[in-house]
Amino acid sequence: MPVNIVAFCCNWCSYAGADLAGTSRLAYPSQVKIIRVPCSCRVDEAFVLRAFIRGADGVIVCGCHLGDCHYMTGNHHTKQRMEALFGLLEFMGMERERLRLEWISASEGAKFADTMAGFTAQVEKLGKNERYAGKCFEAADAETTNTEATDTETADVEAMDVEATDAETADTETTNTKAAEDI
Amino acid sequence: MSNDTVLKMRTRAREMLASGEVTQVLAWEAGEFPNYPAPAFFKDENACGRILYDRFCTANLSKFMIEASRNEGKTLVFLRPCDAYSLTQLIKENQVNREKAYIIGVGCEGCVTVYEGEECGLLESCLVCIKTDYPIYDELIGTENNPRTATTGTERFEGVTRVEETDASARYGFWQTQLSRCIRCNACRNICPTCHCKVCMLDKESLTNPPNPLENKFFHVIRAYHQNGRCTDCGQCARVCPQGIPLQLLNRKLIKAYKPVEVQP
Repeated sequence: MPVNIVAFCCNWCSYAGADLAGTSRLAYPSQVKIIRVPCSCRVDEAFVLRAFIRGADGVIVCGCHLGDCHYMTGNHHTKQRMEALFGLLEFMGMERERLRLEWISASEGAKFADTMAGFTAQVEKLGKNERYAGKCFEAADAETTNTEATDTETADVEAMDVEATDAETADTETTNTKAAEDI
Repeated sequence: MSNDTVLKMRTRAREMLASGEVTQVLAWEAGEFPNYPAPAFFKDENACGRILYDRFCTANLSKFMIEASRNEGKTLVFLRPCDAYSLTQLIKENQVNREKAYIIGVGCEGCVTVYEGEECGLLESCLVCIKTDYPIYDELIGTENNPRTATTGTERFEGVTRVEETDASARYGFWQTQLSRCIRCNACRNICPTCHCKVCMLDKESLTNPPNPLENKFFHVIRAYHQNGRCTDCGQCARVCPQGIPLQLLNRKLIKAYKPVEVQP
């Protein structure tokens, strides 16, 4: 089973770097899922933890080089925060190799592809994330799935549940609305 | 704690309330159980006789000052050195108005843990105490016969180092054992002086299901991480934990590795 990598890329440098890698036809592993953030300092600890809960095997945070941040000091904060968070996760038994902080500028398409290939290989060596993945926030997941279900699926469910009373349907709707609010 | 100190505290509280300099006094009084004093507000000078201070007064009063400083008038508060550090942090974060607090530093002999009403040794945070001075005070009572000496500051990281020296799977096993006991009572969060957000991300409804070990770990990662650079190592989180989880290890790990943000010009 291939490993899942989540890459948080800042809008101004790393995401543009990924774009350059694409336009330059540089291949990088397809299991890298890029999430664009306005600045790398937008990545808070809950993003990283949630990525692991939802099945990521490695998380890489990419930003502009120090001193090049579009918002002047954003990536200095990223550096301080992510080092603290990675240290704490390592302290709690997560392999440090699953976490990385990397600076990639908009002109470094090749570096982006290399970094992603290297990081994926590194995580593949460790295999799937067994320790820190699993059934966590189950209720939240169930609610999310509920909301994400398409209209057709909902209709199917209702058709199957012939005896569903109006009151029950109303209940489901309330849950859906609540789940939507949660998100 | 000498009886003299407690009498002085009561006298000062009475004087201050009578003169109208303060509208309330924040101190400890006898709690529901023996040797388990609780924090209390005193607004009546006749009630000041109930003020208590001994080695069982483990509660950190600084967090109550957030609420107190929103009230009208000044509050007289008794603080030990470690509580005074917490209050300094709260003043820095604009949670407590310094103008509304009259701080009396009281001498500290270290607090003791209580098991079934009996004394059983110093608190872990007092054994490796590094704070014997008062960063902030208006007046001091009973500090002249303070028998405590601060440790050098390396002792408190010994536990962290011991865990750090083991390999990843051993560390994982250690925290799995410790944190699977967590019942998510949120006591560690509620007691923490620097946990003062009005809306907390850990209050999410979907999180209050029967706790599981993974969720517990991430709960404690977030809890500790939010104190990064702000924790004053007062040890209240570990003290209040009903399951005896060494929560201070996480905070101390962050304190040990803390680097301030370096912004290059």
